[in-house]
Amino acid sequence: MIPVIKILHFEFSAYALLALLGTLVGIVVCLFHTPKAKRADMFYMACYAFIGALIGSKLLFLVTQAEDIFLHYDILFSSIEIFTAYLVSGFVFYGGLIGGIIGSYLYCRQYKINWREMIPIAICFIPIFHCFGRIGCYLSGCCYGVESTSFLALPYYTPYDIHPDASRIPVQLFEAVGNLCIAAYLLYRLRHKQDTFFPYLLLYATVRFCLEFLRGDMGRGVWVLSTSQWISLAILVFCITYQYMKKRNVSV
Amino acid sequence: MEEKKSNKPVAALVLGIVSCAMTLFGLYGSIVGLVCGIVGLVIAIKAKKEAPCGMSTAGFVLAIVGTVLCALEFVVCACVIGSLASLGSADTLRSFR
Repeated sequence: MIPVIKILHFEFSAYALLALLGTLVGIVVCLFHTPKAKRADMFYMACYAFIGALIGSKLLFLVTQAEDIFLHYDILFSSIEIFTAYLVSGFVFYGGLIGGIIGSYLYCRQYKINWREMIPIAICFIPIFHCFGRIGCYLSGCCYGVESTSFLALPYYTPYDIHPDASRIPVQLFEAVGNLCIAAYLLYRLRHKQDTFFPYLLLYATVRFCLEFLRGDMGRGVWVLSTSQWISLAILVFCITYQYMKKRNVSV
Repeated sequence: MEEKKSNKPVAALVLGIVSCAMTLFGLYGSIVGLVCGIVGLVIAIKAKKEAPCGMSTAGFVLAIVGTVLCALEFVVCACVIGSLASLGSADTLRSFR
C-alpha cells in the first residue's frame, strides 16, 4: 500500500495522482479520435463532465451514507475537522458517471451542440480514467477485496479493516484490467463507426456486478446487494429495455 | 455608440488566480479554491465562446490548473471511509492529516 507519493518535497494522494494521470491519458485519446473542428468543444464538454462527475460522485456517496449521517449527525457537526474530513473523502464512481453524463449533456444543450455525435467518442474516456483510478485505489488501501487463501490472493495492508494485514483478492486490479479491456473494445468499435454508449454501460454494469461480490469493504449495501450492484442491475434493465423498444419501433 | 465590453474574461481570470492561490492554504483553502475554480471554468468557457481573447484564455487555463490542484488536495480517497461513529476516534482523524 502506498497511499502518499512524494514529488519534490510535496506529498500527494496516490489515488488523486493516478486519477489525474488517467484523466490526461483519457483526454488525449479522446481528442485524438475527435475531428479537428470539434476538438475545442470536446475539451470544454470534458470540463463540464468533470464538474458534473465531482458533484455527482459526492452526492451519491452522501446518499449511500444517509442512514449513518442521520443517526450520527451530532458527530458530523461536532467539529470543523470531522466535517472537513468527511467532506474530502468518499466518492462513488456511479455518481460520477451519472454526473459526468449530465454535465456533458448540459454543455451540449447550452451551446446547441449535437450530444449524440459527441458522446460515442467521449464515452471512451471513462474506462481509461477508471483503470488508472482503480490502480490508485489499490495503492491507497481503500476499496479492498475479501480475505482469501486462494492463489489469486495477494498480501495486502489496509488500515480500514479489522484485519489490516491479510491476504486479499486484489479486486481493484481486476477491475482495472476489466476497464482496460472495455476501453480497447470501445476504441475498436469507434474505429468501425459503431455505437459505444450502450456497449459501455452493458459491459461495465456486468463487470461491476460480478466483482462486487469480491469486495471486502464493510457496510456498503442495501438488503442483499450493494448500492453499486443495485445501480448495475438498474443500468442493465434500462439498456435491455431501450434496445428492445428500439428494435420494436424499427420493425413496426 | 461604444459596444458594451463583457466582464466575463476578467471574472474568469480573477477566479482562476484565486483558485490557484488557494492551493497554498491547505485543505480548507483547497475547498474554497475548488469552488472558485469550477465557477471560473464555466465563466471562462462562456467568455471564450462569446468574446475569445487572451484574457479569457488565461482565465480558462488558470481555472483548470487551480481546479486540478485543489482537487488533488481534496480527493483523498474514492471510497467510503466507514461509519460516522468511527470519525469520533482520534486515530481516524489523524489519518486525514
